[in-house]
Amino acid sequence: MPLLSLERISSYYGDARALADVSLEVGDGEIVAVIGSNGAGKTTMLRTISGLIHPRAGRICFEGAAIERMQAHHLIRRGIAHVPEGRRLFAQMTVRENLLMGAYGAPSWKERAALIDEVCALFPRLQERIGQLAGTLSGGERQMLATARALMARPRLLMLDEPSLGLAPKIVETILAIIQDVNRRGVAVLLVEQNVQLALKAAARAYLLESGAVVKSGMTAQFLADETVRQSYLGI
Amino acid sequence: MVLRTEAWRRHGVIVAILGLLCFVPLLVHNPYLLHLFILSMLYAMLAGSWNLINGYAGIFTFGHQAFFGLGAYASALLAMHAGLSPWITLWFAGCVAALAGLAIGLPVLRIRSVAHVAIVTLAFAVIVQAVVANLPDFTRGTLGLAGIPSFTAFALPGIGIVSFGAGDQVAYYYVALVFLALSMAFMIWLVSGRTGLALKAIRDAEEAADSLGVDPTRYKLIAFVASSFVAGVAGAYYAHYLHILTPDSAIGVSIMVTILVMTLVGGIGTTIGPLVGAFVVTFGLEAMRGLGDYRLMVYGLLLVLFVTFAPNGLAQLRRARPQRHRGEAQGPKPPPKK
Amino acid sequence: MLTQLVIAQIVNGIVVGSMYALFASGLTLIWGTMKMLNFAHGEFFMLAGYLVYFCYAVLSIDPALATVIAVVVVFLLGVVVERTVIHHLLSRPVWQFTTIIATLGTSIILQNLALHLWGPEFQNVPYFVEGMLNLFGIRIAYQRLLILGVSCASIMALWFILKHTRLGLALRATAQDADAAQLYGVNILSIYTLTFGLSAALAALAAAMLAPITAVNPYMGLSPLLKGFVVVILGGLGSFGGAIVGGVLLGVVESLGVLFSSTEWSDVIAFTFLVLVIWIRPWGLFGVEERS
Repeated sequence: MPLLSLERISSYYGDARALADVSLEVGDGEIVAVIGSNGAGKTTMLRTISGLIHPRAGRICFEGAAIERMQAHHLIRRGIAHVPEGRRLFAQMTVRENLLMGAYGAPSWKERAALIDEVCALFPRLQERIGQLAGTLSGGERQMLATARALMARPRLLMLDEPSLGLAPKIVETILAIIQDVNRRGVAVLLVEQNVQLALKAAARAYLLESGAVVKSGMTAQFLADETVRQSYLGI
Repeated sequence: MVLRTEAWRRHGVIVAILGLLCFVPLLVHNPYLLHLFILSMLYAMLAGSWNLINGYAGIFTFGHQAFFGLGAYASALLAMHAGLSPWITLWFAGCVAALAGLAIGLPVLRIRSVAHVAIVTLAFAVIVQAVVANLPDFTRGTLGLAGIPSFTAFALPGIGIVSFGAGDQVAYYYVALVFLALSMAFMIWLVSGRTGLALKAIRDAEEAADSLGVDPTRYKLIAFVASSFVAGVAGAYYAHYLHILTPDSAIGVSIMVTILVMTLVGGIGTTIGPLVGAFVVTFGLEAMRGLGDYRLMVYGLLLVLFVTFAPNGLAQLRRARPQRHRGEAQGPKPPPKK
Repeated sequence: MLTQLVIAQIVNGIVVGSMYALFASGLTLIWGTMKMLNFAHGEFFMLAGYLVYFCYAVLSIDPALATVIAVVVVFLLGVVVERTVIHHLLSRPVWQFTTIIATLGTSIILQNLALHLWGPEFQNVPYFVEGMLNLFGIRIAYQRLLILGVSCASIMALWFILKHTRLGLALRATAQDADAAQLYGVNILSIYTLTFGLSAALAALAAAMLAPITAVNPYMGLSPLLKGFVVVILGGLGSFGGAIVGGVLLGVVESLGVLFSSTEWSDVIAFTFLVLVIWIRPWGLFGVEERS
């Protein structure tokens, strides 16, 4: 049984249909990429999974349980962490406070402190900036913090929405390393990206979304071999 | 222009209502009822002018009573001290109010936050009320400015002399009707033409409108000034109809609340809304006179009920019920990051 | 002699200002988390005033207990109002406007209910503590010192909650990014309700302290509400520290103003000052500049 499965999900913004019959799977410990151009529905899909939007049709199963009707704030406890588009850090809070928010659901302050130590071991740069306001960090540091915040919740599934957005290519390489590192620790990753090269480098499987529908899915090797993908998305 | 003829067609109901109002004094002779009709028409003008900036331009002001009051006092004082006919001072009053509209509009239009605009416009009205109340040498303050002259009589061919003395309520009625019709025509003209389109575009998507070359500030300012002009004229009429003014009756917050209730009940953002709302609320509250103290509570209740269940007012009843968006994001939307 | 008078007025101003600060911090709390204006805030103040009047002046209940009762009851009232009137409006379009209307309507209902039940007369509430302190020739009533003490304590308590508790973290997170707060487990709908109740409780506390000084009547909430808005905008909407500074500043300016002109003009001065500040610096003295 896959860790996460979407079965024929349709989501709407008002009367406009943003997702049409989308089906998708993420297995335990897998890295799955979702690519597609702007407005294809990638962000909507993640927001539907994390409960910020309720789908009008379809099912979402996580670890066997149906979650499509659940409220957003319950899902993090179930093990789904969503790093939204644009990072959405708490800009007027310090790095430390942002991390604490990641562990909002933790049972005690002691636990939270321990988690901070753990996560800062992964991201020493954040330890340096622990007292700084999140809004003053550089782009790469912000992405690090956003990811670290998500990891504070000890998720089973980490969903990243365009982590490379606005970042220099060298930093994007670091992001790739972080994703792979996180995955090695047993966290499944659902990676939404416009940067197709990054997505296909990181993931084992991929889905291509166009106008709210899945038009192609399979192993990344297949994607790289596909002519249309190469021309439209890779510019080769 | 295609838009304008369509507009006249759509506004057929308004024309019909105005037409019907012509016949009321022939059927209704009770002076108190006629008084209610006059008040309704006055409020229709006032609420309609408020609706222009709020319902159409999307700027939610809470100090509209200031323009009404400034117009009232300006016309009254000018007529009393300069000996001019109210027919003339009325237009001056409109201009005074329009200038005030310009003065308050310029800073307000730079503010994007609804909350700031609400508070600043409210503060402005409170300032105006306090200033008027605290200049007793000039305005008689809270004691009230009495002895305001009536409209001067004039001769109409076929009807003879039309005077505005104590028993001439019918004359007042028709003057109010004429002003109502003029103000509605003015606002319909404004809303159906380029300004109206621009305002709607600005209300719905300001950045998009801006990028298309529509200067938001210019159009909003036009709406502001037009709106305050009409409010000022309504105030001036009020002064020469009642012959007495106090800061509370002419500039009090209760006027703003009444405008809100009427426009909400009738339908924000529609031309007919304030018109219908004014009559419904005035006569409705009158019908509830038996409730005594509870009447004002009904005002409050109306505000809450309408804003919750029928935000588009009575005008909504003609359209389909608003769809419930089940696929929408749950919970309050965070404010747009502007 | 004049210096002593001025100093006495400044002290008075700080005392009253600290209550404005408490009242205004309630408004700014709601604004910060929910981005809405609560026009019924003055009525929470008024109802608490009546509760203290009935408990202490009429039933002779211990003033501290009377204060607690007022605060708790008004807190619950705030929760009820939020759940019934505000809640469903927040997820609908133009909520910034509809919430103003809804709270305005609620304010009218509550005000007229009070008027109907208890009449328009001013009701006097005796001082909680009698006596005056004489410090370098300046006489300060113990009641006023009590007010100052209570407001300092409450403001520090609030600050502590906001900075050092899980709840405070959730409140600040919701204020900064409601979506992200939800994603990390904050039940923002509960936060909204709690915030509203807490805000009402703050107004109630201010009323309990001020009631002996200003007397209780159905309209007592109007003036504080308007001044509260002035303070909140001056200090910057959403800035807790700004509300505190703004409140004290308004209190002092008002008190000094009374020395040099009549009370009616002091309102005008306060509001004109407000309009000017907004003109020059729309986001207030401590507010966060809105990127437009």
